[in-house]
Amino acid sequence: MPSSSRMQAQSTAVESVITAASTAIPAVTITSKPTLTIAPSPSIQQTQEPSPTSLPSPTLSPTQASKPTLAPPPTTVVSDTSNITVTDAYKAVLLTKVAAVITEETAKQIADGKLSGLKSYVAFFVIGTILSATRSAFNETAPLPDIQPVWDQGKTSVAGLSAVVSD
Amino acid sequence: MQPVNAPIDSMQLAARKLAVEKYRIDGTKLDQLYDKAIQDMRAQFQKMLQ
Repeated sequence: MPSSSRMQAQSTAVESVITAASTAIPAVTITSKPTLTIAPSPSIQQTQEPSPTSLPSPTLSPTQASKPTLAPPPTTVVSDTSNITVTDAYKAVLLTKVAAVITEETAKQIADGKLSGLKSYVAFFVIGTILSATRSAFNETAPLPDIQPVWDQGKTSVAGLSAVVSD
Repeated sequence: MQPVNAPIDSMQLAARKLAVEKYRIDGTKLDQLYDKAIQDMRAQFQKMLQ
């Protein structure tokens, strides 16, 4: 058998093998793509925190009972200094009034002739002493601003009364 | 005595008003003490002159 014919026979055999092999392998056809499904994750159950409104209100136990509180002091508290100033002012007023009253009494008794001699001298001595104390009270007491005008009038009256008595 | 008594009474009224309204002092009691002091001094003076 010549070599050319032998080579042709081998190629024919190879082609027949390939054809047989190609027919024996079933054709693979992809009908559908696999779908990826994600399973749902287990749900996280969120626990609800209690709202502020749902908080229990504190209740006072008998041991926590509120103690009685002292009443606030009155708003109109007068200091001792102010009281002393008012008292001193009233002392000066009172002494002035007393000096005027006993001077008037002395003048009436002298006019009626009931007072003369040594008694009249004693009377004027007493009046002078009271007027001296009155002047001291006026000088020692700082006049309150509210009564400053009448305070000055009172001092003037005492000075005038002293002038009358000294005459 | 009117020229002397008038300013004294004005001064007493001003001091009384101040004591009562600003310093909450009992005005009635203050008047009683004021009048009693004057009457006592007058009585003592009259007793001394007798």
